[in-house]
Amino acid sequence: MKNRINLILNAHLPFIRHPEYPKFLEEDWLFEALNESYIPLLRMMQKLKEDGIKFKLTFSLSPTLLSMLRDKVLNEKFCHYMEEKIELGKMECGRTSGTSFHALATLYLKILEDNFSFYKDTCKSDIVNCFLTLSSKNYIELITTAATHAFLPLYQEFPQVINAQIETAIIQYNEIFSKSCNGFWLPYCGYYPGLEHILFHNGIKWTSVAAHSLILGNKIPIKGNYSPICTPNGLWCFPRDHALTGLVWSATNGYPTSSDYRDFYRDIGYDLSLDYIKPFIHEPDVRVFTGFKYYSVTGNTSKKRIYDFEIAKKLAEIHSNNFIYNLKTRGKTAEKINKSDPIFTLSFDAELFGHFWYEGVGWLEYLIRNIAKDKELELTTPSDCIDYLSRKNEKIQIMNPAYSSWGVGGFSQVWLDNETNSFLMNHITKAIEKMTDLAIRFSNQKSITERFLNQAARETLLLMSGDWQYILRNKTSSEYAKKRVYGHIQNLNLVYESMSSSSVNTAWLVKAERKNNIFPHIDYNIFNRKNYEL
Amino acid sequence: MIRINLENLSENEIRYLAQEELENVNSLSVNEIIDLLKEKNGQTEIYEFPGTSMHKYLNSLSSTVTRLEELPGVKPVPESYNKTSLHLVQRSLNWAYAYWNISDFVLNDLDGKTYSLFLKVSSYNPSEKRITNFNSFLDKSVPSPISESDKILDSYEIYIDVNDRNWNIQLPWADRRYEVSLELEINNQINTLCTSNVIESFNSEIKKNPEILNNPNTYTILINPLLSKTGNIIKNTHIMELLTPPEVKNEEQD
Repeated sequence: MKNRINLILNAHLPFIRHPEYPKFLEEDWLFEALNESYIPLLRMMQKLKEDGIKFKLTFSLSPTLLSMLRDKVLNEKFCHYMEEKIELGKMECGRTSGTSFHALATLYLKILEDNFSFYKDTCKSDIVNCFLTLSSKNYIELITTAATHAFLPLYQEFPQVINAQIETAIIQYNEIFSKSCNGFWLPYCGYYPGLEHILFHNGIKWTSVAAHSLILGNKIPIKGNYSPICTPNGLWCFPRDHALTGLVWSATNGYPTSSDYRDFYRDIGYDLSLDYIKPFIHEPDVRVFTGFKYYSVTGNTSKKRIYDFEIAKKLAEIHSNNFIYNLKTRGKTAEKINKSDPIFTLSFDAELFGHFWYEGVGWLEYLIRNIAKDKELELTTPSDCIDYLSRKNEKIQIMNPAYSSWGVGGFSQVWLDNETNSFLMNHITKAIEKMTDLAIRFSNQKSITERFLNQAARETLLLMSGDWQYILRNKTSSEYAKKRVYGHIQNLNLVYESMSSSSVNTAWLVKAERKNNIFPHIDYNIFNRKNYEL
Repeated sequence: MIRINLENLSENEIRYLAQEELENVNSLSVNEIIDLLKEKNGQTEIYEFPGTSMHKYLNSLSSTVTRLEELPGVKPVPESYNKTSLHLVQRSLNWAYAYWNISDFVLNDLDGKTYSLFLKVSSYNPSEKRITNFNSFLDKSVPSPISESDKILDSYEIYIDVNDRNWNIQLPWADRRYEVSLELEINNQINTLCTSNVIESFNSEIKKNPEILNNPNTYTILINPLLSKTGNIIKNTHIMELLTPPEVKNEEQD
């Protein structure tokens, strides 16, 4: 018996780029993810490769993230960010000298220096190339997702816009990776019946759907979530396993909540005096996380224990063994009933590992090493599974998953929340109608008018990013999200009004192209539905 | 002392802050936590936290974006749009969200008159599965439009105020197409102001045959992947409904 495991990591951040400011608070999201998740994950995979460990993972690198990772301005800012953190690390080693925090401060400084050197020397300041190398050596399958990570079920009324999100992403993927893309990460696992036609038309072979999408589907899934299904038009759908991912993901009792792991919130950026920390935070005196965290989760108390890295490391190993135990127990039961080897699809946000769950990368490394030693387990990718099942002539059930997402409630409630974000739909719909109208009325323009309309297309895609609705609902950086949404609508309205009076606002265009420079080869004609008619 | 408006905080932030003030935070819902914190603080929305480490949450509350510059020539976003139109988007398997605009022309015309506005929710047969003559692959991804030959199978009305601009719409019948129209009743006449796009409710097989879960093997295969380690089922009303014994459902209805 063999348990096949598709481990999918979704790496995504919204497009946040403010070249007009030397330091910008929300740009730190990218830098934190780079330093705490993406670089540690790459270093971990590099180490596994060097140790001769066989592994297979799937990474979805979102188009917005890829654009930012390849951006010169953000690269320079990241280097500055790392230099500042290393400087703080040196200060921390001095400040904590002779205290029980000193060993941790020294460890943090070393990790920062190693990460920075890996970024500059091994990756040559471009981690995308490192992912590409691992992909070319067959360790990882790289896939894409919607251009700006839009929650696609909201836009079903406008299929040309859904297609624009998918096609733009695939064009970027082909440009960067010079190969065709087999898999597509549905943002927030958002699926609606009918979407498979647009995915399939764009050459996509497989996607992953939410855990409850098959059981609520138009047929009873005979093998439950232990096997992919195929939609009638031939798109493979791999259902996410809620029970196993919940062991890690659950906010109330997932592994990361264990008392010996590092506390995410206690950070010297908030705990130390303003005078000391001022050079490392944002103006005007806006405290931020610095990554220097000295306490463990401990429990529901303000009296936190000092974090012990060695104990936490040991716990990560125990948790990886526990995960495998649960997986094998479930696999055995499934195999007995289904009379076939189970396929597990486990998907997570990549930023969970290292950033939110500090020991997460270590847990993943133990997991991969243990799986490599175990004959009953095999890490695979969905593309491998398709090849394997096709070779075996395995009969795959044909059915349609139900409308679904992995958001709270399981459908669109998170992105259509009456109290916080549903009001946006009216504005976004109007913007989409205007963009579609522009693409039809002014098709195939050349020169500056083409640039003007292409920028309108970029603004429309950026406006659709599911992150803005998500942030507004979670009330985390609401003001920023609102400003971004309104900013993109204003920009689109400007193009619409100018074009309606047969003019081009060049002063706006030059600044907008410099600021929102995503998708340099975009063609606004993708918004013209007539271009798709037979 | 840090003064924080509780309503502005995320669930994670509220839970974290409450750890210092309340016991057994994990067993409480967010609303219960807010109520208890308000109780401690004399029923005001603004809660005063004594701990200095609580500075962290000023981050999400301090507006660093006031300096976010607008590009030259842009105009403020209007609150509404001067064209009567109505849109429908699916919210879950049996709920949709309708949102609309009413033009100034219509609104001015209603001034001083006696009238009623209502949404008419109409359901039709599902999309014809045998259609093959699509104009493009895009047409396959949406429900087929309502044609003159389509008959309304069932419908219901929701009376609304002239200031309403959105409504959650129930889709009571599975496997049907739905269309919502904005109707104006004036001088004993009903005029359709606008009609929405079409959406289609889903035909979930297990909802028609929930007894299939009485088979222990089927139950194990279908339900186990949806359970947490503590035995809680995934938070989804349709799945939870499937697992609710009929007698409990009847009691709830009573």
